[in-house]
Amino acid sequence: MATSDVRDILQISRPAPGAEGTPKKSTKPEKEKKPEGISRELFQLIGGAPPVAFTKPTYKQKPNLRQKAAHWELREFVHPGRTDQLALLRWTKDINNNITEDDLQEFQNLEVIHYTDEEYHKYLLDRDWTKEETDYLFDLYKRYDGRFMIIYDRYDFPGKRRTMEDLKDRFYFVQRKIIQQRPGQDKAEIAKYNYDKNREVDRKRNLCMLFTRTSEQIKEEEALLEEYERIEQNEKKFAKEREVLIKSLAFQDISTTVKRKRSMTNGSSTPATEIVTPVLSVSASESLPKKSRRASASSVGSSAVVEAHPPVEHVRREKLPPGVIVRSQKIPQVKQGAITKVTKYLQEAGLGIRPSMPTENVCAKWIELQKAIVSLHDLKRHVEKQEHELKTKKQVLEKTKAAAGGSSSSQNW
Amino acid sequence: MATPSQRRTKGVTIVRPIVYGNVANPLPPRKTQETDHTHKWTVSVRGVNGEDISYYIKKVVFKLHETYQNPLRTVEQPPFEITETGWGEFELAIKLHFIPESNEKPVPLYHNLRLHPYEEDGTILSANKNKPVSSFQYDELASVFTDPTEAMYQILTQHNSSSTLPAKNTNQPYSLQAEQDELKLIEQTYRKVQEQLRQYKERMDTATNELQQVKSELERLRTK
Repeated sequence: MATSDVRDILQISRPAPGAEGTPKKSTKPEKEKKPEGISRELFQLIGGAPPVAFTKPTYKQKPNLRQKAAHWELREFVHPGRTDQLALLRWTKDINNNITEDDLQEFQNLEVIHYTDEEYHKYLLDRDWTKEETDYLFDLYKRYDGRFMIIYDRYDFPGKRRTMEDLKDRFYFVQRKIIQQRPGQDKAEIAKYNYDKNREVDRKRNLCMLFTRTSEQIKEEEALLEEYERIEQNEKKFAKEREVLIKSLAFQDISTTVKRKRSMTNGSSTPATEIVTPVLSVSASESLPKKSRRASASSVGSSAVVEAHPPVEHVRREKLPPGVIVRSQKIPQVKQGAITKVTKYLQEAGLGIRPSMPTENVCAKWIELQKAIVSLHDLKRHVEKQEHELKTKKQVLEKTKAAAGGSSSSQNW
Repeated sequence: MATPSQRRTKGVTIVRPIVYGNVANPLPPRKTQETDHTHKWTVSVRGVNGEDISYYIKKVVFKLHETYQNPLRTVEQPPFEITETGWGEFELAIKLHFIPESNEKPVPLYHNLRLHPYEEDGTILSANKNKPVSSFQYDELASVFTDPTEAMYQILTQHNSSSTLPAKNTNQPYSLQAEQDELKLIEQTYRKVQEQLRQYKERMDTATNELQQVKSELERLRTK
């Protein structure tokens, strides 16, 4: 398979001729968009290095064994990079076409922009690099078709030890400089020769680190990652719960204010006194009670009937199913987590765990009270949590401030 | 077969208050030597004023602790009560069966038999140790009979006057006054809870705001 095929598969654009740019180019887009499944914070920690360990391996598709095997053929061709017409062999898939120049493009067109003596003295002087060494580098570059691996391997300039990054940095710098300075050069070409040495060094170091992690470290990282996810999820859950709670509280607020207003119009000042109840009006007379009781219970009766039972504090009443019920048994259970708190609260207020006079009004009020106590309990928990978080965040802030004041570069990471 | 009188009277709810519970008396010491029973108790179901409730209740089944002989006791005539001796407290299941005209299913009640005069914190004062105990619960067969059958409706309305709460406490603790008192207490507590809720909500708001500030500050420092 030709390297161009590999590039196609990996979706890497054709490298700049002459520049062995694959690592540089492939990391670039990866830095910009973070891979899925990794949170932003963690991605910052990794620092743009390819996430070797963090993407789960996916299984390859099964090969389609029933398909007929593609036909490959061994073919002769002449390498354009050679002058001696040596016939070389190469496997190709496409039988009909001959190997074209295009297929062999990576072997040729090694565009190197050479500097003149004058240009060198004007723009390219460097304390570390002599002209002889730069010449030597360019010579090697040409000889090995810009393959920096080989250039680095063969590099042997007396008195100098160069890393791969040194070599690349110098080479690309020269190219950029000349494109910039020489008239008639396409300035857009500069982008092809971008090279950030420090970044590259960092990247390789990080890769090394990633590669040399022990299995314990990998496990720890995974555990941390899991923990982090858990925390984040908890936070989300917590925020959701809080929202629901606040909404329900707001709803209660509205309903109480509405009630207050209604009681004002009814002319009584305190809600407590107005709960004169028609509960057992059944006895009052024979005919009236059944209608009016019903009316007050369903709250849709005609105005005349309502007047007969004026200031009933209206708690929303459920419509009862036909049949007999025991009133106190219709009081809903407090949710499991809050039972003890609610019981304690009720006892402190001088009430029992169930109403002692479970009449219709008492039960309705009781249910409301129970609900309110449960929300109070919930809210209390949330407030405590929130305040705790505030405290820890404040501490973090202090630390960050101190760190920022002390050394501005390395922050709390 | 639903006879016409079995048809339900729509939109009617009739309430019947009832009281159920037990009294207990310590047995004289000499008797305790023969058995290990220490108390004599009576569990009963009755109307709030002690009135007859048999016009709508056909029978009451008391389920005693399994260690009693025939723990399932059925009482078909008023007064609906069982007297027994024993040494321990347990939860009684009481099942009310209604007269056939009502066409209603039986309704269960639960009562914790009480023999000892507990104080509020659960201790027993030695001074009260041998005093008789009375433990009753008020309940409403509330909306007893939402949409009662026509026959039942007639029966119930004929007996209206007897089954109502008295205005004031007389010889028993359940009255309209007691209801008002409890309502007041609940209302007070409710307002207290609301007040606390408001306070907590304020605390929540300030905490949330501050947290927001701290967070944005942090964010600013980090991105700098």
